[in-house]
Amino acid sequence: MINNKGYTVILDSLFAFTITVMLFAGLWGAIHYKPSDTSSSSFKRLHYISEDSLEVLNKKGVLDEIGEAWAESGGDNSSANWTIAKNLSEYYFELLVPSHVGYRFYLDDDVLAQNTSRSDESSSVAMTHSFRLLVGYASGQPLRGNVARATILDPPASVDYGNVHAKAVGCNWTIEFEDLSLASGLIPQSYNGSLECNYTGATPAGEYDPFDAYAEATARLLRELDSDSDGLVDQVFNPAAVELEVGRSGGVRSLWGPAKAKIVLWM
Amino acid sequence: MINRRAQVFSGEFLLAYFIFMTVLILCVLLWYNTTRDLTEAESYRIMEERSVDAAEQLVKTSGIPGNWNTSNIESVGLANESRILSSEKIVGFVTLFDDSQFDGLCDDISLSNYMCNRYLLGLGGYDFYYLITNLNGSNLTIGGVFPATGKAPQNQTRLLSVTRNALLDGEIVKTTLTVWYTSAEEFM
Repeated sequence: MINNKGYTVILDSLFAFTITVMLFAGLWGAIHYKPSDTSSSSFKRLHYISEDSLEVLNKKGVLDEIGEAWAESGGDNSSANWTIAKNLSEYYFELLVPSHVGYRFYLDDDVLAQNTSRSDESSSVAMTHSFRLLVGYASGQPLRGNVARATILDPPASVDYGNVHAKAVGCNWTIEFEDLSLASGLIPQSYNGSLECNYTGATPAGEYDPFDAYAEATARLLRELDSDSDGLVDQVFNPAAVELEVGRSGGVRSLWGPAKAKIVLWM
Repeated sequence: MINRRAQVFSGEFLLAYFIFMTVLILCVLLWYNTTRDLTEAESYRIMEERSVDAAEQLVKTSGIPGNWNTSNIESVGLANESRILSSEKIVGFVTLFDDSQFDGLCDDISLSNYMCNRYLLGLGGYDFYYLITNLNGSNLTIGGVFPATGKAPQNQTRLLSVTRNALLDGEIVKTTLTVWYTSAEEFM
């Protein structure tokens, strides 16, 4: 009887002891648990910082300056333009982003500025990002375009500067006249490529590239000389007599991009 | 038999009583701590939310009416357009919330401009101080006026600052709204 009672007490005690230890451990942990101060407002604050940063840089024109230098650098991080883009980015983001917030600034996939020592990214409690699209920039692409005009003295005709194009290449033109004769020539004369363009129908054909400033200006001139638009030029002339003049035009950034300027913040 | 039973009962009872009381005390302590932490967290959340909203209102809205002045203002905002601040509005704002000026802007003429108008910012019972500096933190003046207004923190129980960036006359400036209170009063 005593033995039986003794065993019962030991089992009860072990059971009670286990529960008690668990209870103590739970209570102890709960007492020392501190709720995080991070709230939805903290995230909102962080996001406002990221939006502010890009917005003021955009409105001040700094993003354009960074974009131009970055585009001119062509991704070469040893070039002077890359250094300009990097220094500008670092200067402004160091001042714009509070000292307890880590950041990384990208233009497309290139990291131009970052500070990971301010806050550990892997253990951050809030993270956000903002971006702006920079129209007209692409790494390695020029920021200026080409416009061309064409003139011929005999027969006298000319067309003024047309659309802005990324390139000015030229073509070896074959032109058909009203008397059904054909003439071929390089326009401009300095062209040394192998593209073959035709004006033997109602529209320029062959390897004619409407996005080549030289070819586009030539085609406009030929249309000018084809008064009835039948694809046959009114008067016979030597294609070599066509004079082309190309100009470089700024403010044509819409040719490229858009590039994505992105800031990632964490704290 | 009775004596032996009483002795066993006493030992077990004391042990159980001790354990029970310890657990009870821990439970009460836990309840107190949790309630206090939650109250503090909620209080801080509300304070932070109001501060963030007020800072947002100042740098992104033009106020009501859009060309407000100290006599017709219904809602305060310092921007002409989002994140582009107006010098005139900043100067008006400094006057409107100057704690050392007593221009009789409300019925009680003994109240400072700040006390008369602080409700306009929607911060409830919290006090605030607003400062605009250059991007690098150095002081600037706008039309000869130092762009700081409100009530500077003193003996505060809790304080938080919300910093926003904006443009002023083509330059990037830093605006800092410091919100604070001095007692454990609830401002919900």
